[in-house]
Amino acid sequence: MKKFRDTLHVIYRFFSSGRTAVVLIAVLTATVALGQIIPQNKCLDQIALMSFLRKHDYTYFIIRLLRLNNIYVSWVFILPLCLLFLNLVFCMGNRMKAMLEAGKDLGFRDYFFGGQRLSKWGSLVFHASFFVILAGVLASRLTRFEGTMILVEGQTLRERHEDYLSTSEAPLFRENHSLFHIRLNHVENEYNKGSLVKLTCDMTVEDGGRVEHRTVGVNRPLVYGNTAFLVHLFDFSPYIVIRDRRGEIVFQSHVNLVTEYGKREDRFAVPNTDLVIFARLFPDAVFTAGGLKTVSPEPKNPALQFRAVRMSKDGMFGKTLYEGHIFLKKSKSFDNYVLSFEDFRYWVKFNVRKDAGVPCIFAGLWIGTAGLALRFVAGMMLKESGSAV
Amino acid sequence: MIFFWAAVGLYVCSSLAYVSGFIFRKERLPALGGIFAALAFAAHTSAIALRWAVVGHPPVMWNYENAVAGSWLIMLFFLILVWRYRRMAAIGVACVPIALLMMGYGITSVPELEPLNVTHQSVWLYVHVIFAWFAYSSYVIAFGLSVLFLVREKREATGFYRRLPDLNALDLLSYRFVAFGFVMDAVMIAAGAIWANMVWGSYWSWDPIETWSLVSWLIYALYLHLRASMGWRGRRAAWLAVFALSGVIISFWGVNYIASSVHMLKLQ
Repeated sequence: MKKFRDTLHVIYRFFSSGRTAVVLIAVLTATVALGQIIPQNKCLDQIALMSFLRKHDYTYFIIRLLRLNNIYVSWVFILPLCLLFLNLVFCMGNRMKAMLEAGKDLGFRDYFFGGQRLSKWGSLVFHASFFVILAGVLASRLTRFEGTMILVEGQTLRERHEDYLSTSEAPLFRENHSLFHIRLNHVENEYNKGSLVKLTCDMTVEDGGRVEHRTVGVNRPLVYGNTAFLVHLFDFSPYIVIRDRRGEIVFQSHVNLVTEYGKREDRFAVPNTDLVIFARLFPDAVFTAGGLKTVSPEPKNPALQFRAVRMSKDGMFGKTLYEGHIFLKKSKSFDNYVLSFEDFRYWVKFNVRKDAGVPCIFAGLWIGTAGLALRFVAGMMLKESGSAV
Repeated sequence: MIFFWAAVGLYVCSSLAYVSGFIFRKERLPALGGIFAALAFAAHTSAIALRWAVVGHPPVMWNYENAVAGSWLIMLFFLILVWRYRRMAAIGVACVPIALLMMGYGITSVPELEPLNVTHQSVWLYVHVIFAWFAYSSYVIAFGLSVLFLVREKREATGFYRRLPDLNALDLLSYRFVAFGFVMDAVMIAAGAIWANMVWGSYWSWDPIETWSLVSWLIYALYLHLRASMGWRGRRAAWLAVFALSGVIISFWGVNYIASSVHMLKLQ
């Protein structure tokens, strides 16, 4: 029993030591930095990651074994973080106990403002904020929903699983969709010196009988209930009609292309045929010696540059049936088909988020900042010197 | 750009005067360095004001504007410090060259006049960037004070070195600038998280710039804890403040060369 108590005492002393905090902060800092040196699975530069994998396959085997390729969710990061929180609990407990005991006989003013107490209260508030942030992060991890939804101008979708392009759901989310209707009415944008300076989406939310109009922008997400729609990407959606020789419609639809004003080529397959269309949309097109170019990002004279390719039975790209361009309201014939570019609209890709933890995290950030301001700024203004953190 | 290059030229003269003064122990040269620094600051201010008037927004976008504005704030802190404590003028030997290097880094980026992109049209941009400038400028001043501490520590307070401030003053002031920078840094990170949540839907994505700014903040947290818990003052604290600036340099400059970041993306 005595040995057990001695062991507990050693553990208590270890975790309530400021030196332990120093060591754990150093370890955590090194771990966080390591995650920026070792290529991570979710890094933006996937090409660099693949190149590293090819050149250092044995090294990467070791990295993967130690879970260093996903360091921020591995034991390497989480263990020192947990130990640091434990250290925080013990240190704060001791500090609170000491302050309460020392303040027993003090009046109200001296209790908070006397001696170095203001900076110590500030330090306590700052460190306590980490627990608020932690609560928020845990709530976020367990209940967060992320989804992407694409809307073309004039299109209405519902806030339900089926209408998302992709989703990522935390374990406790449990399909908690709100089922309201959301419609993208119109997109307006403005450019200045080639830079997008205005982007607004006129949207409507219909929930039961309730209808609300919202203007949504990049820094102005649409927040309805616990759901936030954030503008992520937009591009053109030409309305393409393909007819066969008899004049029967084979395909008619808006096609959400990602062509970045003609810089990139996108493609779509024509259902029930062996056709694949590769396309670029030039919003303000002019035909030059070097080919089709766009003069501005505004849709003043849209043109579609396309290649119609036949797919073979084994899924390989075969003969190119046609290569050329077509302006708005015009048609082009090739092989057994006639392709018409009849209309175009904008499409907008929204990132959709439901995260119950975010308000808690932000509250923690502000509490922490207030604590820091109290600890250092107020404390120094009262000419405290050499006081403990 | 005339004012910009005038400022660069004057900062070069100031840096040369400070460094020569220390190497050759000529008392008049640092004083001359201070005069050049003040003149350079005036030209620097004019450059920023003119650019602001032309583009219609404060210098908050991309590397060029941030480098120019950040170096301006370093010099403002330096000049205020010198005005308040004349004997601190010697920290110019560290601060002026850093401001000059930042301006040099800024000019390697594209200094084109660009209106505020739609991604940057948010009040959080200003909160985030302005507190970043305050934080990093404080850290640079703390670095300067620590360098001066390390230089002064090994010398007698005679001749050239008698004009330098005493070691306790340097140590305390360095600590205060680190503490101030730490608070500003915390606000910068918090504001960045709030803005990121509004634009990208995620308050933290372990993005390289986000993560390196957290690393530099943790290094300064280590500095403050070492001072409080283990009594690190004087030389050890000075060396740590000198080393800690490397985290800031990586998060401001180095990370752009070694990793892709969502910070560099904008909606087109």
